[in-house]
Amino acid sequence: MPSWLSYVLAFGISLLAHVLMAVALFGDWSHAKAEYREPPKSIKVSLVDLAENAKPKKAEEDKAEADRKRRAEQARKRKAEQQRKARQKAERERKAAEQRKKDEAARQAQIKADADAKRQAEKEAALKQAEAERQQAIKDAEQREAQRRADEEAKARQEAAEQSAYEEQEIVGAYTQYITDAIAKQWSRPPSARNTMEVVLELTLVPTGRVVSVKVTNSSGNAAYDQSALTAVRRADFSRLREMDPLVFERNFRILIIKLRPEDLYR
Amino acid sequence: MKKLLSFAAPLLLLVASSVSAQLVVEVTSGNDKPIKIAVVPFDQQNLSERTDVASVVESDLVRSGQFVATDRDSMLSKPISVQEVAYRDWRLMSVDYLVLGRINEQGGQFAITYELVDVSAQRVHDRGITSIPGAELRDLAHWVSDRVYEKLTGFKGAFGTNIAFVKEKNVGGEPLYQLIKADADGAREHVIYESRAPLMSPSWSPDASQIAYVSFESGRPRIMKHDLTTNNREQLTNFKGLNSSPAWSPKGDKMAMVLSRDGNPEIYLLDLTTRQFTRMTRHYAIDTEPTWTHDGEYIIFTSNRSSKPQIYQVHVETGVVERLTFEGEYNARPRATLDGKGLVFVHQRDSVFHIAVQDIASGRIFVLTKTSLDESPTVSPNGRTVMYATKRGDQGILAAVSVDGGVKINLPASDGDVREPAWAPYVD
Repeated sequence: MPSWLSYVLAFGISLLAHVLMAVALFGDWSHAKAEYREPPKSIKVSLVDLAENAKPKKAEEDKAEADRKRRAEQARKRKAEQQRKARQKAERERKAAEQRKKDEAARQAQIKADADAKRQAEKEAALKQAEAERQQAIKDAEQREAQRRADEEAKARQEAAEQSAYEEQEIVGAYTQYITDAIAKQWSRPPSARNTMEVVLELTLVPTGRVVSVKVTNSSGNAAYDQSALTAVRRADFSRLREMDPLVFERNFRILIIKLRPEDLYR
Repeated sequence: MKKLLSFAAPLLLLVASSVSAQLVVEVTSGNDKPIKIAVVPFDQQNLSERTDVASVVESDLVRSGQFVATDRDSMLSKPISVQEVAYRDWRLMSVDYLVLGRINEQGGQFAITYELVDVSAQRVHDRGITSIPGAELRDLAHWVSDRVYEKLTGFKGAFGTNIAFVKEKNVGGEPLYQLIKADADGAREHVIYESRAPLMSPSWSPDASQIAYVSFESGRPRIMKHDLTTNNREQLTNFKGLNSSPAWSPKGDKMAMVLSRDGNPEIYLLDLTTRQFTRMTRHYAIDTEPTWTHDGEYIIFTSNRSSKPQIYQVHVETGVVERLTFEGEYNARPRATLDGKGLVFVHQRDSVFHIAVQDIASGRIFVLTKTSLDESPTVSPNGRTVMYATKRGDQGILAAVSVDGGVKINLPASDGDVREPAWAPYVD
């Protein structure tokens, strides 16, 4: 699994968990509001028997019979009505109870769901946390490993650099001696040279050992002495410089300061 | 890409130089060898004089001990100007410098153009043109030699100066003594004065217009003064006993000499204006051979006051005497070096007489010559060369050696016994 995907996954899980947490925290309140309903208004039904009243009183018997029948009927009707009403009421009550029960169940379910969600969220958060911690641990371990490797490499590099610097110093020392000898071999001092004199030359070389230019940067005050130094440098054989590592050459030998002091003269 | 590289190169350099400190190479010893010079025959056709100028220059330079010359026959080419120089040829022969020249003549006067070419740098190191009224080709040659010498050694050349010496010849079975003036290389001898009686101890006036010497022409020694332009002679002393070793002071107003008029030889000072004599030394031993330091403050002389000849100096103002040499049993006939720090004299070692130079401060003696019977050293006006008299077989000749003991050269043999050279000062 590419590592970036794990981050996306972790992020997704984290986002989901946060959403769920938000829902869990504020869900109750906002859910109640959404579920709020107007309490049911009881409907009153009243029957008005208009036909009874409109009947003529011509046949008493009929009428009485009718009356009795009617009363009976009425009584039966009332009874039926009462029974019906009672049934209705019972029904209503049952329904209300059912409703209440249902509401309660819904509420309980909601609470349970909320709790479940919360638990789930917590669980997921915990999981995520654990995952994050695991990831962090891996990352830390990786970092430590990388750091260790980097340290080791740096140390190795440092040692290598010290080693190569030391080696370069040795190389530079050896070639400096070579250059000194090559110049000394060609240096014929004029009779006016004195062991207190010093001339400073700046010498520009190329890696083949060829002298590109040489000039006096600090004169001895004796033109013939300066000239002898210039001639010595121009005549000197620096051809062995081509055996040197070009980088070492670049760092050390392209431009040289040459100081010539005839300390071997007796005066 | 090339452009990029050329742009990157200085950057690289910058990095390189910032990374490591600038490497300094110190050279504290050398390998002193004479400078290898090639004096190419000069362009000097159709001149009224035949002197080979290049060969005079060459022998001047070689005689100084500081140069070795390339043989003409081995030259691959003979350029007369720098444009014609093929540097490769000269590098192959390890030639350090070329001397080239061209001479022309107009109305009996010579004009010379000379070039000193630096082979290793492949360019002209010095170039000069001159025309000296009344000069002969030899004078022009010495002028070139002086110039090359000064450029490459750092010292003024003295090739154009003169020397004086005494020559003894046998003419008609009798000795003839001549006071001779010549070029520093011994050429162009000119007789100033000659006599059947001995001549001795020539000494130049500081302006090189007069020479003082000792003449026995009247039967006993007298100090004479001779004007070289007018040939006028003047007798300066006529005392009983010794009248010897005249030495002109650096200012030319006084002359030191040896007189024994008070019993034994002492150093005296003659004021040439007032003709007053001042006695400088008072000692029962022999004091002789006076000479001046270049600042004129001291007279250096030889004395056997310590039983053996040693060199002393007397302060002219105070008369305080100080001994200068201590090494060896015989040190005599002193001459001061130009810088005042050294002393040139005759030094006996293993019963042989050499010319030696001593550093006054350290007392260290450096023997310059290996021949025996070397005498009468005289120092060139640039202080670089010591000329002296020596023997070749029975004949007295002149020889020269550089003060640091380089090549020793005998001057051309003359037709007689030559002795007592005196190197003339520079003529301004």
